Amino acid sequence: MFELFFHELRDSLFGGRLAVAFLVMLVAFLISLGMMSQEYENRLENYQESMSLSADDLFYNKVVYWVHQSGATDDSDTLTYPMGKVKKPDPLLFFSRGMDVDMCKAVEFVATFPIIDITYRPLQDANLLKILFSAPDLLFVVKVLVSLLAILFAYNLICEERERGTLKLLLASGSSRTAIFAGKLLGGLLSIWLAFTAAFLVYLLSLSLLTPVSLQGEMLARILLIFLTSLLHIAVFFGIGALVSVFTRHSATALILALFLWLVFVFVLPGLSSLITQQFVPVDSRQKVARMKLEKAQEMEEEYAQAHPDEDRSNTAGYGQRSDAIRQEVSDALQQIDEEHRRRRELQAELTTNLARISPIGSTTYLFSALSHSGIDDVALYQSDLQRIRSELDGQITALLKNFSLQEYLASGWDVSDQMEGLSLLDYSRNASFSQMTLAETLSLAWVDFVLLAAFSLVAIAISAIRFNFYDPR
Amino acid sequence: MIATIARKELLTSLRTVRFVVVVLVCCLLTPLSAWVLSSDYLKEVEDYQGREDLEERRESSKEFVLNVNKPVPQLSALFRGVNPESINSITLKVFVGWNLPIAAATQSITHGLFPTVDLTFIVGVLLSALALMLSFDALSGEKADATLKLMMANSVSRSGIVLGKWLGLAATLFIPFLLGMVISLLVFFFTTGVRLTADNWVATAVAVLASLAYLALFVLIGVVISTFTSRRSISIFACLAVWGLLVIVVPQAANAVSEMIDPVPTSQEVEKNIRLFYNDFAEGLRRRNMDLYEQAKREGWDDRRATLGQYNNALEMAIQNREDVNNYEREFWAQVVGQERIGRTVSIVSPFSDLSQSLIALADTGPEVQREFMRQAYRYGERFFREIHTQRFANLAGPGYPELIAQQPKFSFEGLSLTRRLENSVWPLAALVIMNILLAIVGVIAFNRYDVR
Repeated sequence: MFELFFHELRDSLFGGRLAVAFLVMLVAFLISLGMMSQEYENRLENYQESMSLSADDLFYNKVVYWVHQSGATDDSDTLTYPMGKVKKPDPLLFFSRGMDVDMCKAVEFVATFPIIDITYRPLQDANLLKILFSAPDLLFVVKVLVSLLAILFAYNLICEERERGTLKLLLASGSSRTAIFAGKLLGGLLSIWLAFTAAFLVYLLSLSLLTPVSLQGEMLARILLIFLTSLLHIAVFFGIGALVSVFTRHSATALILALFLWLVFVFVLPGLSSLITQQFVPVDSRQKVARMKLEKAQEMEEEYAQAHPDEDRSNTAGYGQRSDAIRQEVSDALQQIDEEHRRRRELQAELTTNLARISPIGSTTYLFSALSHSGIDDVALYQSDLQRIRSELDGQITALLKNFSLQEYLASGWDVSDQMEGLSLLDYSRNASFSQMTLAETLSLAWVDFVLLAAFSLVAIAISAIRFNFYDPR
Repeated sequence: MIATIARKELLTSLRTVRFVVVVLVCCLLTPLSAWVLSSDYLKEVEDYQGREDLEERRESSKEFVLNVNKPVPQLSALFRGVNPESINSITLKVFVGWNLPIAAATQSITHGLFPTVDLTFIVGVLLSALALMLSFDALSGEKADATLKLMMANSVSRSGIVLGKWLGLAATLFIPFLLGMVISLLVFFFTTGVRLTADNWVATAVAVLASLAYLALFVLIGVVISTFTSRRSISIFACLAVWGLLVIVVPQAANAVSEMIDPVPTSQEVEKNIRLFYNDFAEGLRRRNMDLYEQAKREGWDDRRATLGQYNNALEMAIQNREDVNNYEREFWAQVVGQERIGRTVSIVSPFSDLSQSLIALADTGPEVQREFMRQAYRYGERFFREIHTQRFANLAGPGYPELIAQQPKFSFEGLSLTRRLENSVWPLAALVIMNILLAIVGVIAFNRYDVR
């Protein structure tokens, strides 16, 4: 067994296969690195731009009140505080962009007294072609190229030996079939693992030398886990290749079959899962939810207004601010709609996640993205952070509204900044940070994918080992 | 003679496993994706209707804003393009700021993780790979099986063999593709109950032709590669490499190149500069109103006169400010369009990028329609802004802002005309056809020098 193992290893080491695989991976990794570093720098620049405005630069600290001679203000009695907030790009972006697109929006907290609304502004590239063809992250390369190489390493493991007539000789050597298979399999697997490891190390080296990213602390642990995920991923596809090789008799047939399987696992199945769940668990769009909320609020306020016809109603209907008496009630009702929507989205996400796991690509994708802070759960955390920031801002603005005095404003030479200073909303929204999942939290959610990948590869290898015992060497 | 070989090729490949896979992809996956995307389309239409209804009632006028909406392109159910990411509603504000674009959000939760399987993806990625798998051993396989010599003995011209093989294999792919296309269209009609407009019928027909040209090209690439190689395994690796290069690497690299050649400011930089424009405006207005306030106090103006004075200040400065911002934005968008153009020019060598560009241009889900929508919305907004304020200031005692907003004529956007869609897709389409012709010539020449032994 060990002889075969070393033989197989030597074969790929000196046969040029390993070198070719290493070079192909390395080139792909470096292309990905180059393109992603461009994207990362753009993102960073964008983030820095969003932080570069000082409070004095901003228009809302110089609110213009149109004042009547009598001291009453005109109908523009709202102050608007648009505060853009962009999440700082995570350096793990290089490994997987994941759901990052959902977390890189510029969020605007538009505070129209006394209600704060969150507006998501698409922080997409203005160049729309980039949506169609986005830069490849490392996950993309692993998903598409590395899995292909792994399959190509294994598809002719057995059937080619048969074709050349060497399988008979091997079997005659006295080793058990299982030992022969294990030796060949481990030799092949180890050689592609070696090629990948070498390319990955060069990639990491270039990442730390050529980009502003510094590798340290928890990030290193995450990268190590990403590396382990890739090894498992390679094992899975190697197993699929081995499976093909023991079920076919000609290497040409094996190759075609292997490529079909690759297409199905990499491109068809993952997309299919989200298609199916979208069909069976439809979720309302954000726009529809916004409309439903508006209609609900209007309905409640209309009802209240009919019950209390004498009350003064100067504010706009539909935002829960028409009357203080039912403000809480309305906002609770609106929150309920949000909650319902969120629940449905979560249900859909859960179903999609599980369905996509039919293909090992699903598990690899989840692991990569979860480890890169851009998984589905990270998005959920991000959303809840936004809600938290929003409600805290809401409290501060309500306080501001209570304290704001027009007389003081006029006396201070039309400068509102004094009254704003105590609040420093800008600073608040700027400093309010997004929390990040710790490694332990990520792992507690992602361990299942590790198990699935390991199980997938073991099952593929076990089936092919059993099948090899019945393989006709003639 | 060509016809005989083509027929033989077609009949032979109909019995292979590869053909079964093609049929499965075309007749199961394609309709499934059409079914799902059709219900997405319905959802988007419902959203659009909801927004339009709100506009009809001018609900938003109470908040001093007006929303303009972009209708859902019919063919987005087949060719998604940038539609899910694009801005389909713009809020025009009477006071400061005016565009809070809201992106459509009917995507699946995991849209960032897995590619959306629409017709562009199926044809561009899956069927192109299958096309290569059909044809990679067209000649090298015959040689390996030693049947090529027999064929040559039948006094068939060499170019006849190449072209016959090409046509026969292309037909093998075309039949299931067209079948799948018909089923998908039926699925679309039955799911949505939509009747395609005449324009969209033409666009669909051209899109089908573009897909056929694209698939024929990949079949031809396989045939040509097999005339350069004499072993099956070498053919398939060469095909894989070419496929990866053309379908995956070049389109992505083209964007990177365009960004390197012609960088544009980031979105937050644009945002910041626009805010600084508003800042200047506010600062100026504050000063002028402050002076006015003092003057009014000194001279004992009445309320009406003071208010009017402030309004006049505001109008004059706001219009100036709006113009500054517009100029700035126009400049920015011109830069972006320039960058896109570079990307397109670079990626014209990739058939996949040609295909997707022509398909989304035809389906009206590409970048052009997005820009046109924004351009028209902004033009409408500019007129709206001037009109509203002028009317309001002309008669302060008259109707207030909400009433004036409600009186504004409705904005309507129809998407790009068929002519413009065809115009936008003509270059990528031409590139596909030219590549077919050039490669066919290469194939014929290469096979004439091919050693059949």
